[in-house]
Amino acid sequence: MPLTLKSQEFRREREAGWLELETLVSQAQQHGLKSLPTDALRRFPLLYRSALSSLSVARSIALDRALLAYLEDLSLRAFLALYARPVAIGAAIREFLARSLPRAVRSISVHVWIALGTLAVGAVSGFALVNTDEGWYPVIIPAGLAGGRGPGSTREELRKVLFAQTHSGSSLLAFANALFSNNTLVSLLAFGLGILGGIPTLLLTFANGLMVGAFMALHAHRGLGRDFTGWLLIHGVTELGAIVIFSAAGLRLGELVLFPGRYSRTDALSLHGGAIGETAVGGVLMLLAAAVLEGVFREAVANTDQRLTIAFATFLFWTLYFCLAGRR
Amino acid sequence: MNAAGKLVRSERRLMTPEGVPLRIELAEPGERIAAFLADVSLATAGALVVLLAGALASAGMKVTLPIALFVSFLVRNGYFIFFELRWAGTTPGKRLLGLRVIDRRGGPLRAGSVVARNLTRQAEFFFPAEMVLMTRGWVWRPADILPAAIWIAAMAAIYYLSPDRLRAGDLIAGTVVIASPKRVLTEDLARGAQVFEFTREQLQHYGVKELQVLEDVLREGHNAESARLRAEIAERIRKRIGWTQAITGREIEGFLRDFYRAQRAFLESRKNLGEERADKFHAAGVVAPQARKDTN
Repeated sequence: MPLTLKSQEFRREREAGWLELETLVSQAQQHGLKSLPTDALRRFPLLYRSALSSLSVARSIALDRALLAYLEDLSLRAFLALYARPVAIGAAIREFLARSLPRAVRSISVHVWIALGTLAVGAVSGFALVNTDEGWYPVIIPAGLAGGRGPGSTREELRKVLFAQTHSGSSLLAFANALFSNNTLVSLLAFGLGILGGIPTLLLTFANGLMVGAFMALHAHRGLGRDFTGWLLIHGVTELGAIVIFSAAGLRLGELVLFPGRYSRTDALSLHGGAIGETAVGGVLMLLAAAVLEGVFREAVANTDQRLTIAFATFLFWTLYFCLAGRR
Repeated sequence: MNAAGKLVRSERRLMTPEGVPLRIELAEPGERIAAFLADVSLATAGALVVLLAGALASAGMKVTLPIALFVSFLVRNGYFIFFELRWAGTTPGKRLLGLRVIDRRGGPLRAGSVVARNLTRQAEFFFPAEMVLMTRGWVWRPADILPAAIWIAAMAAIYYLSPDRLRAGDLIAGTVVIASPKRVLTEDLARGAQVFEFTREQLQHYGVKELQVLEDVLREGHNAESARLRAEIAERIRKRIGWTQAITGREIEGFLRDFYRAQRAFLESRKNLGEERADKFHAAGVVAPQARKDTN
């Protein structure tokens, strides 16, 4: 009895197409889709679809496990070659800065406002507390961050810090020091802890506001309110902006964890998570910019008027960028 | 690992735009750690070269810890992001281990996702580790290390608890790491001339599972161990289906192949008629001892 199996016949008929697709896929994987000649490029999607149909047929008629595994792998390889192509880096960066990032931030504008509001409420509370009683100051500001500045400091001591020239000769060093400061940690924590439902994010943002307000009150009492504003905001607009951005992303993360809607939490995250990731990348860029402003420009510009001008310019820049860039 | 010592990965389905779900195999934790170590070693070597070149170029510059950390931050993330974008979701380490990052929903890998998943790695592992480095020089008390250790452990817990083996970065970026598909087309075992003939009754005993175990055995290379295994299986089949002649020596291979072909032809024709015989317990409503795993 000459025994010919249906699955065997099926394989004999379609094998040539699979092997052709396999050759094309291998070439595309090694040298990119563009290296294929025009004719092959035209045949690629056809062969891919026929491999998919072979797979569907094989699943229903064949019991040859090696054949099924081969078709699964071949289809997946062709699928990835067609749909998951390498990205041109220059174009990707331009696209990200010009469109994706501002759009992502606008898509969570509600969260941005909440974070900004929390920071502002924190700042006002910190100011009000220390303004009424400087005894609050050491409660709000940990000794490690105060840098020796406190209720016991005189006006001269505070002024010295604001216009200090501690330049170490290396702007890279100053930049790196500024980058690895407390605020970087706070920003990343505010973002990461969003996964716990957003409450720690709000607390961290509020605490950061408190500290800014407390510093402000301390300096204002000694007639240094304006100088301190310049000292803080020359990089602070960007740095506090980064904190707001991170904390908004953290809040959105928390929202998706608490209210994933009709999806599972992982599905909700992969569906809406793109904007969160992109916003956080924007936050990292802002932190880098803030470190340049703090480490390099603040010491170079030892003049309150100029510092305030730069602060205002950065404020204008970020506001316009996030509100207007990439609109259709 | 299965009994034969082969790596068995957990599988998921990925829906193509054409509507045919494809099987993907998730990368194993060990593979990912190995790839990560390979990549970090390469990136760290790159950062050292940059730092040395920088120190030599500007003789006065001191390489302090913050500068070293910042340069390695830039080089490391640049390395990962560059390769994952240019090499379509692979890096040298991932290629070494045969791994690949893909979009979880089957779309193209977006630049934003790649950047996000790599920067998140920074928060998952490098920042806590570096915060320890930054604070205490080279002498640490347990209290300095504990918070960072807890942080990293929590991140590892996210990975192990997530249904699809996603680390926090994958979760946020909507990506998943799979083993690159690379199987080749092997010979169809049902080819060749039939020497042994089997009756319908003799083919009633086994189901798909046994057929595929037989396929695996027949595809194994020839050595003393596999010869012993084949003889044992041939003997068992012979007893079960009531084959009266003895099968010895040279005949074993041919007998098994012919039985495989006949059994497959029989089961495939049953399948075409809508009757799927999953394993040898298919008959008479006998329930398999353990419920089969749903691979979906």
